[in-house]
Amino acid sequence: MNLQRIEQLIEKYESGKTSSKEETELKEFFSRENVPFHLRSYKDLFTFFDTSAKEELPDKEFDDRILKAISNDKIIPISNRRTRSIYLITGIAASIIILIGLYFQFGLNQPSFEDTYDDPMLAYAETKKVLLMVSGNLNSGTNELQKVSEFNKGLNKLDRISTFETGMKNLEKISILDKSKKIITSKK
Amino acid sequence: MTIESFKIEVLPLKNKLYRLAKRLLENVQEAEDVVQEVFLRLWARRDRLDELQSIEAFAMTIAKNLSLDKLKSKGYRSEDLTERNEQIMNTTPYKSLEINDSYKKVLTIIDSLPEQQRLIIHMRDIEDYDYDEIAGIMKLSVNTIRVNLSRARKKVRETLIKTYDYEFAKN
Repeated sequence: MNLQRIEQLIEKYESGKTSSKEETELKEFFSRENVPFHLRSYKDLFTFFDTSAKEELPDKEFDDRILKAISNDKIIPISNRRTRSIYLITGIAASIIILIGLYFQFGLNQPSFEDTYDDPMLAYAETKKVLLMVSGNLNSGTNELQKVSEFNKGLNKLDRISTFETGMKNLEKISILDKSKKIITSKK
Repeated sequence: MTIESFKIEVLPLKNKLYRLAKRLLENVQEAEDVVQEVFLRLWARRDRLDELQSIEAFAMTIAKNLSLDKLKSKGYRSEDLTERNEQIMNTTPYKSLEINDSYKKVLTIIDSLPEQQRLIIHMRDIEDYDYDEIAGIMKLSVNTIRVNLSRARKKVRETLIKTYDYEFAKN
């Protein structure tokens, strides 16, 4: 095999463009005893690939272990399926019971609207009566709200807190002490 | 699927699955655990395995995902490194010290590649998968596979040459 061809293949190999056939060609070339010195890294590389491909799972009893595990397991999936369907049926039954319960709880109490008045004028009068009653109750409610203004009075009393501020200002005079302290220390 | 056909059609994948898991986990015991888990999962889906285009690609995908999950959950543990080196000595079929040396050198370099590149170079150069198969297992486009493969191959060769130079300077 000519070296030029190998070097071309290597270039192709490194850009990820070789076909399986071309890679076999390279592997065959580098499995030879002697390769050019400047290509020895490829010999190491391809020898590594070749050796690695032969590595086997070390546990010799692996097959038996797996086959044993899956033949025991043979019964489990069926019971699994059975428990799964039991869960499913219980789930469906539970949701039906809940739905029925909800219907009796809320469904029946819901006020239904029935037209009880034959005379439209009578119906109008009844409606007016009801609305007046509602507005009357609403007004008595707003009267209660006027007590909120008492809250304002309380707030006014809080204004006295501002006198605290004048007290604080007086305290600032203490800073004079600081100055005198500085004078004393500088004189030392 | 019967146990008999599972034994004949599926179980022989064990070495390929083992090599893939070990490439990522760098640990014999953990790799074996992954392979076992793959088979149990395949068996659990035995009724639908025939619908698959390729049981092998499906099994490899599960092995890849389980190994990556395991890697993520254990994080980095330094004692694995020494454990790994001992395993290499025991599992390499070649007894010659010289070949063993260069084998170890390449192994260290390959296993230091980012996980994705490691997987791609493993599936292509060791398992001889075609680009479409690798793209299917990795859930990536063929072009992305080629780009990553090229990066991995260049990186391995460059690092290998650097170690030669280093050893030459040392001697």
